[in-house]
Amino acid sequence: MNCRKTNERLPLFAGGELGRRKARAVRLHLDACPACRAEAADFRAALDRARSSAAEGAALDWTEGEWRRMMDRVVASPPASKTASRAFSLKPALSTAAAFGLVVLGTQYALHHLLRTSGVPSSSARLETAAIRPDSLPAFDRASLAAVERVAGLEDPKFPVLPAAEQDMPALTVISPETGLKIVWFFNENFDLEE
Amino acid sequence: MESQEKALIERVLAGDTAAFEPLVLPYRRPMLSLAYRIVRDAEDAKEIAQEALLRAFKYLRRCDLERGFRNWLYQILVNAARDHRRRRALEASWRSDVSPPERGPDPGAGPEESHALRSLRAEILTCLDSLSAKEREVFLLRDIEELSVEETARVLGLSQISVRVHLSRARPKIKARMKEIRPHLFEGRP
Repeated sequence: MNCRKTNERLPLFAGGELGRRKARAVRLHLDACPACRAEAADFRAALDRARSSAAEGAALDWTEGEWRRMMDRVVASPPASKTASRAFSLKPALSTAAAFGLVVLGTQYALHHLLRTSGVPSSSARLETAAIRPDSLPAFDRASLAAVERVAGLEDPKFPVLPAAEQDMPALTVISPETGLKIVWFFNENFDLEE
Repeated sequence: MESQEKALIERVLAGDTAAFEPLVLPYRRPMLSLAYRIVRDAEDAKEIAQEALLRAFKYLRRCDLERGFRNWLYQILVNAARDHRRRRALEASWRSDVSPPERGPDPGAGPEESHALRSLRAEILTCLDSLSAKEREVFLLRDIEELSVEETARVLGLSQISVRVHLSRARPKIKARMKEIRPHLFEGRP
C-alpha cells in the first residue's frame, strides 16, 4: 500500500473503524513509513485531545431549581396512548399506502352506493351518457378516454358523446406530486376496472 | 445498568411518574453537553434538552430496550436539535432584513468557572466550528460520546457507510484545527 492510500484510510484507522484486512495493510505500511506513522500519531493525538477537552469542559448544567421545575413539567405532561403509539410507529410508506387504500375503497363504496340508489341503468347505457368531452382533455386523458371508448364500443356513431353536464362515468384520477404522472381509472357499474 | 433502566421504565409506564427522574438523571449533563455542542448556545441547548425529555416521557412506550435507552434518548435529542436548527433557520429567513440579535454571555461561563475550563470548552467548540452540521453530529456521537458506528448510524438515521464517510471527512478537519490552536501537541513530529 502506498502513502496516498494509507493517508486516505488514516482517519478511520485512528478510530478503529477499518476492517481487519485494511487495518493490517495500514499497519504494515506504517511500520515501514515514518511520515505516515507521524500522521497517524497526529490523528490519535487530535482525537484524544478533543475527547479530553470535551469531557473536562462539559460544565454546562441546569441549576437544581431549573431541573426541579423541568422535571415537574415533564411528568405532568400526558404520555402518548398505546394506540397512538402503535399507529405512529408504522413506517411512513406503509401508512401512506394504507391511507391511499382506504381512500380508494371508500370512494368505490360511496360511488357504488350512490349509483345503486340513484337507479343508474346498465353499464353500456351509462357509458352512452358518458360525456367527457375529448377536446377538453389533455392528450394523456384523451388517449385514456379513447381506450375506454374502444372497449365500450363508443366509437360507434350510434353512441354520441353528450354534453359535459351529463357526465356519469365513475373515474378515479391520481396525480403524483413528485413526477407529475397522472393515472386515470375508469370503472364500470360493478366497479370492475375497464381495460 | 440496563436491567435497572428497564425496571424504571416499567415503573413509569405503570404510572409511577416519579421513576422518570432517576431514569434520566445519569444523562442530565451528557444530554445538555451534546445539545450545547450541536447548537453552540447554552440557552438553546437547555431548551432542546428539555424538549427531548418531554418527548422521552411522552413516548417512553416506544423505547426499544434492545437498542439501549441512552441511544434512544440521544436520538430524540438529535431530532429535537435538528427541529430547533430548522426553526431558527426559518426565523432567520423571515427576518433576513433585521440583523441577528446579539448573543448574551454564555450562562455556562459563570465567574466561578476557571479559565482552564472555559479554554477547554472553547477549544472543542472551535474544532467543531470547522465541521458541517452532519459531520458535527457524527463526530460528537462517535468520537465524543463514544457510540459505536452502528449506534451512531441508528441515532442519526444514516447508513453505517455514511457515518464512516462523515468521519473520514470530519477527523482531518479536527486534526487541522487542533494543530492550529494547540501546535505544541504536535511538536517534535515531522
